[in-house]
Amino acid sequence: MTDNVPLLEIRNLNKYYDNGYHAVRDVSYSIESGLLVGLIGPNGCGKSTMMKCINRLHTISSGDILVDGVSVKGQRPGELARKIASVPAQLKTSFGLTVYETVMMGRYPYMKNLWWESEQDESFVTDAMEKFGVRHLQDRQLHMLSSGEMQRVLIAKAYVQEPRLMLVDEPTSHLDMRYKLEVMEYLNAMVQKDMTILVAEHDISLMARYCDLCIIMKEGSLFKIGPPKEIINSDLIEEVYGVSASVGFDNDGELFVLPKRYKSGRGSI
Amino acid sequence: MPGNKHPPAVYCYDRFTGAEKWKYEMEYGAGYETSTGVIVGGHIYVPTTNGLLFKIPLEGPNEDKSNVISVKFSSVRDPADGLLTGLAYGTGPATIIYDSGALYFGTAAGYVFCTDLDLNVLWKGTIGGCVYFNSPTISGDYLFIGALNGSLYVFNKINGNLIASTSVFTVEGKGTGLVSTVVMVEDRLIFSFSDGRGMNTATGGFAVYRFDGTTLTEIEKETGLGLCSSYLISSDTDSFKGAYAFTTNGLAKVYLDGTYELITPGLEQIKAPAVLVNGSRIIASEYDIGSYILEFDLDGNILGRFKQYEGTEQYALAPPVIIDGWIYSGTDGGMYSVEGDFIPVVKAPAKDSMVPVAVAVLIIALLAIFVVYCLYVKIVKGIPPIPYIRGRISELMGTSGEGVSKIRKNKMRLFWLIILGLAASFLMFLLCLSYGPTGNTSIPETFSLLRSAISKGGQNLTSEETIIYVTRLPRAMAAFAVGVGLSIAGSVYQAVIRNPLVDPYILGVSAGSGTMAVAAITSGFTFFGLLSATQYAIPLAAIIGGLFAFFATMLIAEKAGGSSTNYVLAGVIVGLAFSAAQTMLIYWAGDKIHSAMTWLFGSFTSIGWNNIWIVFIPALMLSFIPLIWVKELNLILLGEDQAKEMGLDVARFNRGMLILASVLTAICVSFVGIIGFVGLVVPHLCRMLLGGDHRLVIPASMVLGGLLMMLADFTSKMLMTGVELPVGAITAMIGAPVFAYLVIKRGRMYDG
Repeated sequence: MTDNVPLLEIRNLNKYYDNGYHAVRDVSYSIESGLLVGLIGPNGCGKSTMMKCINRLHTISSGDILVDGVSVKGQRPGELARKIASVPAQLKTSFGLTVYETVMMGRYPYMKNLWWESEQDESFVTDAMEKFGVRHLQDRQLHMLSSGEMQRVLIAKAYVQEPRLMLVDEPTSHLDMRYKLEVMEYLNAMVQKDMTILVAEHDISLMARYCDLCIIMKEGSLFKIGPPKEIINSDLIEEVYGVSASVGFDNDGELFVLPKRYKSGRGSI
Repeated sequence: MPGNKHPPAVYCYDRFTGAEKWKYEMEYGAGYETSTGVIVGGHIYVPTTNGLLFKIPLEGPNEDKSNVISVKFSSVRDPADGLLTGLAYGTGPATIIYDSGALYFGTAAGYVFCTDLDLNVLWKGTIGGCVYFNSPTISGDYLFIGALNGSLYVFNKINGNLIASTSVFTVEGKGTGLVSTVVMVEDRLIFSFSDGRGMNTATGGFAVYRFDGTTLTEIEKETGLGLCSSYLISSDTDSFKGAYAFTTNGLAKVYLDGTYELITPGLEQIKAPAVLVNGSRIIASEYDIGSYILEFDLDGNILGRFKQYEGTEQYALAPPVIIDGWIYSGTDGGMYSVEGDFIPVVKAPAKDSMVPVAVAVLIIALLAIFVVYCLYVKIVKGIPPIPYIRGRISELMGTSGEGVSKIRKNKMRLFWLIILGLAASFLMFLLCLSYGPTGNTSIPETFSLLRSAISKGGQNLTSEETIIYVTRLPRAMAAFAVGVGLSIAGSVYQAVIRNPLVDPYILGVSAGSGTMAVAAITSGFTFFGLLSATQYAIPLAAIIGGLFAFFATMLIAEKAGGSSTNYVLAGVIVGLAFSAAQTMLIYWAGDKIHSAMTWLFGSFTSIGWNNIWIVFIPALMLSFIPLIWVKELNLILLGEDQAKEMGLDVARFNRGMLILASVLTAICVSFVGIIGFVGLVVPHLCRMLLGGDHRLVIPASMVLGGLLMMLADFTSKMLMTGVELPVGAITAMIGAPVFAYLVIKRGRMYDG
């Protein structure tokens, strides 16, 4: 990898759904390696759709997505799985899978044997479980975990996939403030490697606190991209969300967003 | 035949329900009708003791009985033909036989008649004695008939000319005697004879004569076995030429040279004609009140017996009729039918009766050691013994322990699973072979019988070898294969659809199979003649119906988007549609409803060596295929999106797995019917015991499924003597409590 090739490059991405809905409109941006990137925008602004275009759950209507300079189009799913990993917001069913079994599945794209993983795979998985604080839960079944533990397990699974790009969808939506911070700390700790993490999240203050870069989307288009502390202000919040908010900095210099009033045609509700 | 309180009548009953369909009462008669009629060309011909011979249509008499013909064959002898010798009855025609377009019978007045099917007399022969109960015998161009003057007559069956006659046996000075119905094997005539004194008969035996076309020559007259039943069973096979005779001393083989061999000594009195079934079994009714119907093999071994209907008041003199595994038997007191296997005649306990004692001692000793060890752990180490022992055992087996990698532990778990599973399956398999309603053998005995049967290549087996090799072996194999197949299909469906309520029948396969099978059973629907009534018509119809239903489900589901929920919904819709069609067919099934329901409940009775391969090989082969994709089956548990992101072509994988599981289900269902519960419960049991990893769940489902199905089939045979219960009900009875327990203990694994 040479320095002038960005890790993720999106070129004029458009996505139309079968019903004609234009979910992603002509989005272009590029991200370097080793960043924690926040993806912010109101519900339905195309965040999830764009992420699903990146990991090819959705087909791309027009434009292109390049990872390490190679288009994701035409790559076999197995190849792509070694570059991009994703952490779902939650798992619907687990069918009795244990923590260990779930994390181990992250090694699937690398498996050469028909049946069993290698001992190296296992030690890698054990280290990952240690790193994300779920080692002591390894024989627990997923349904017995708390939301925070579950999120860490899913992150550990994505981690052992050794991706270049990790897509994380609303990781903290079910969590209390302590677990929110904990999850973000784990994500933050990971980017030290040659890996960029793209997090879609609604908590702007949290994003501003941890992210190196923020991508703001509105109605399918890229609204703004840049370091959070530079681009997030009350005008931006009002324009993107239609909410009047006070944006300020606390004593430690951390940015916070305090929503105050919903702006409708008639003023307040 | 009704008891002598009623006037004689002919009854027609429904084969299955026993409901009376019609009844034809004769106006008068002696009331003790003993002769047997004959059914030819849509009519039943019934002789009565008042001399009338009736011809009644099988659909029953009409209002004014105008469709019933009766002709009188008087019991009064024309004096011009000379007096009768011996005992004479005032009855009419004796038992009728049918041969190439004509009816033949003797009468009490000492005549032999040949009539056409409208009872017009074609020829009439005169003999010197009364004919009562016994029938003539036709062989080649000749008619043989014996009479109550102790003589045997031979007529030309075409023109009624008397060819030969001979006096076989008479009581000195009185002229009474009896020659009963003849059987002919090669040039020999074999028949029973007696002093002809009815209920007071004291002397009798059997005789062998040679008939060369013109003259009768005595070969042997034998009274050493005592009295001999009126009807004999002829045998003209390479292994035995001669006849079977029930005598006072037991069942005997009579050879063509007049020698005999008593093969089953010490039987009760048997007077009714015995029946040879499928050339391999002899069914005979004992004469006395409350006695048994017996099943013999051709070596005279009693394979099973059934106590005749308790309400029987009188004696059995009519032959049993066997249709499709049912036995219909009449006695002087009523008629009854029996379905299913005979109650086994339990053999004497094994010679080495020390074995059970040794086993019991061993078990007690092991229990004692276990208890002592538990106490030792509790007292000396001061820890709860059961978890400690469990931990020690799993450490010894290599499935737990510090510093051992998880992969290694899982490999050990799989190893022990396969070893223990195969050992238990093999044991169950041997139990299925050793025990059954037709007799039990010890396991080592079974083993040697099986080996000798296989070394003979299935030919010329003894009766014990036949039971194990022909009756039980294919059935046990089918039970194993179907158990494996349904469990694997269930595991695959549950993983792909990720719904714990899914069983192999969720996608409409069973409803489609059931509908087509019921159609084939009730209406003889054979796909426009493509599958003309072969033994494979019903299985093939079931396979085609099952696959058709599945593809209908797949079409709807893929149109709707192809998600697993779409599949379940489409399967429910298709299943409901086919079930409705099936209900209609059953509603119109009439008297075939029993066969249809038996198929739907599931049964292994139709499995034999001719069709086992069609189930066994494909079911096992298809069951092994998912082993290649266990990793992917694990992956799919994380959800379709996750699996797709991890590099799995989910749509193709799901489709392939669903097709595989559906074909597997259709094959399993086709020959044995719809056996529920196994495919639902076994995968769950395995998941609850071993976790979600399909590398353990799939092999475990195989062994547990095969094991459970063999156990269910074994139980269905053994639970109630004489009746075979539907195996589907047994699987549910075994499975439900175990499943309920596990759901209570471990059911949370399917939450959220």
